Amino acid sequence: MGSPRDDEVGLLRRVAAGDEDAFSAFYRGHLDAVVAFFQRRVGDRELAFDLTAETFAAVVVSAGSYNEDAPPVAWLFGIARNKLRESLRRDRVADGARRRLGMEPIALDDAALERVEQRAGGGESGLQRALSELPQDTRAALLARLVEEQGYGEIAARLKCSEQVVRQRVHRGLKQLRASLEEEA
Amino acid sequence: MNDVFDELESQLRGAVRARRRTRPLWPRRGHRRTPALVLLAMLVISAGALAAGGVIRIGAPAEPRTSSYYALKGGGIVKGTVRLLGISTPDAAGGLPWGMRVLSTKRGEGCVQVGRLLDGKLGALGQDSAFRNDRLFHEFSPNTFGAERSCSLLDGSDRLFLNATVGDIPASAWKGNYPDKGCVPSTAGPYERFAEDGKRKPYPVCPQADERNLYYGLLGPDAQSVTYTLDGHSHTQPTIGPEGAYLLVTKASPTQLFNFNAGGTQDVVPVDGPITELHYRDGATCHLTSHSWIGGKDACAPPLQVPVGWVSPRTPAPTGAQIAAPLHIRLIRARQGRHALRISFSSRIAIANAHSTYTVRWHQPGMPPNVYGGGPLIPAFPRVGGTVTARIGDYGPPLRPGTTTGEIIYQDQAGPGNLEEAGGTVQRTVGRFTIHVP
Repeated sequence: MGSPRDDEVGLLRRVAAGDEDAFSAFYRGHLDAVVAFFQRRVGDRELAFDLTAETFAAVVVSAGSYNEDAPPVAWLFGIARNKLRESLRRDRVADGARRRLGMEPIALDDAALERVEQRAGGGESGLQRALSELPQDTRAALLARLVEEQGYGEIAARLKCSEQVVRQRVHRGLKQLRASLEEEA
Repeated sequence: MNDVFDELESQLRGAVRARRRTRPLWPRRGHRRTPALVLLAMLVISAGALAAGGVIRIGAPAEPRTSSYYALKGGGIVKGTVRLLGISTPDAAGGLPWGMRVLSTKRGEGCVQVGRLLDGKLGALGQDSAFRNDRLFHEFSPNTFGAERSCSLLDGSDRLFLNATVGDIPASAWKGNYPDKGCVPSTAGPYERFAEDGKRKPYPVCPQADERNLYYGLLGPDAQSVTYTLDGHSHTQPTIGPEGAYLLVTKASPTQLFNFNAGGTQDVVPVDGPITELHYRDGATCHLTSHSWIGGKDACAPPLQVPVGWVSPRTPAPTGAQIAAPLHIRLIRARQGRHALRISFSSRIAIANAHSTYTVRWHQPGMPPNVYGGGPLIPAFPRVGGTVTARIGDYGPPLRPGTTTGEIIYQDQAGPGNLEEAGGTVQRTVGRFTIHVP
């Protein structure tokens, strides 16, 4: 049996070959995390949905050029990050990938926006479980850095330890989270 | 209810299906890479011309109001310890090389600063929205707040062993504070993007081409070289000077997982970077393992108990009997009427440097097993007989009703790395407490 990474590389190869079931598997596997990624950063459900749609459209467009240097999840979040950067620079979400695919705009009503919020929460539920297993010091540094998005200096001042200790706690916490989530998967 | 994400999935499945019919037989990889290569070449030519033509001139010091990072954190810099290392690493896009400087603090820490080099000076460039893009070179003060820096405890011979991996640093080498912060990565959070109070104009986003990853460290006097792998090629380069210094600078990749400003780590061995082997003068080699991030002896194969050349602290840790003291604990009313615990004791030893500290750990109802609250005590550097105090419950979630238990711990550095994180940190219990919170 292949590793989760091998499985995902295989999915992207199949997406590039036009396998829509492979796309669904990849989409469902990462949807919550991508929605959460955007919702946490832009704080706007409509914008988060728009960016999510453009990101997965870019996955469809670019799956053939995925070169396996980076793990698929890193590649996906690289796309997400670029979409976020573009939107910040241009003050709007680009829709180039969706237009290229000839996709129709999707209207969002209140119920749809609620689903975005639920998805964003879902993206973090696995993390919540893994977070509860971390030592308190590590968890505090990690939450301050990744959820509250404070600077290292401020966290260090608040937790009354050095910036290096904060940096190391965040690093080790991330590693431990990654290991827990991979194990769960 | 029709789920909007199902609708999106349905449309994208249709697009995948449609592309099966229209897609070329193989991807045009070369086409994608050409613009990046051209851009890189243009940047190299442009930056090289700037440097060669002497266009980069020296501007005002980076921080004219002398800042005092080390005074705040480490009791100030020990005179005569600030040294520029003989290391010069080219930037991925040309221009001024990168360099490193070391210094020691009065609290027993050693620190490394990283920046761009010009005429034997370490500083930052007026680009990437730093220093109003004035294209000038701005020298760092040793006390700088704005330079990339890492600190760790010195060993028993006052030498520094430290390795840092830092992502998304602007090519300007400046990561200062308001108003001269410069640019931030696109994924920076609100705190970094909108400054501290969230009311100011957001900082500009760094161009991807101007984001760098820095991998730097000091491996000690016995180090000889490091082997690293970049772009699929393995390289071995000698370490520099008695510090065993190395510094690698790469362009940050948009697909890397450092998804926040200056994310990274610091450890006794290099982790999360391209370095794969450390070579020492006696012929020993540390092959970094997949567990290097955990630290300790398993970071290397064959296992190393401590980094080669690292010397134990000169002063042994005090015994439990020398440290133990009666604790005084009180339930008090803190701000907004909430309960808080005040724990105090009289320190039986003086703490004069960062090699040792007191800390408090507690467990309250509802916490999972093996999870505890933690925090420091005040003052950090008590004299003999001085009162040391911890407060629990002032901030964060309120104290939960029921029985809270805990202990005051004394920690002393006995192994490499920073206190708390060092595998060899010695811990002694000063005293334990139990209190009922209504």
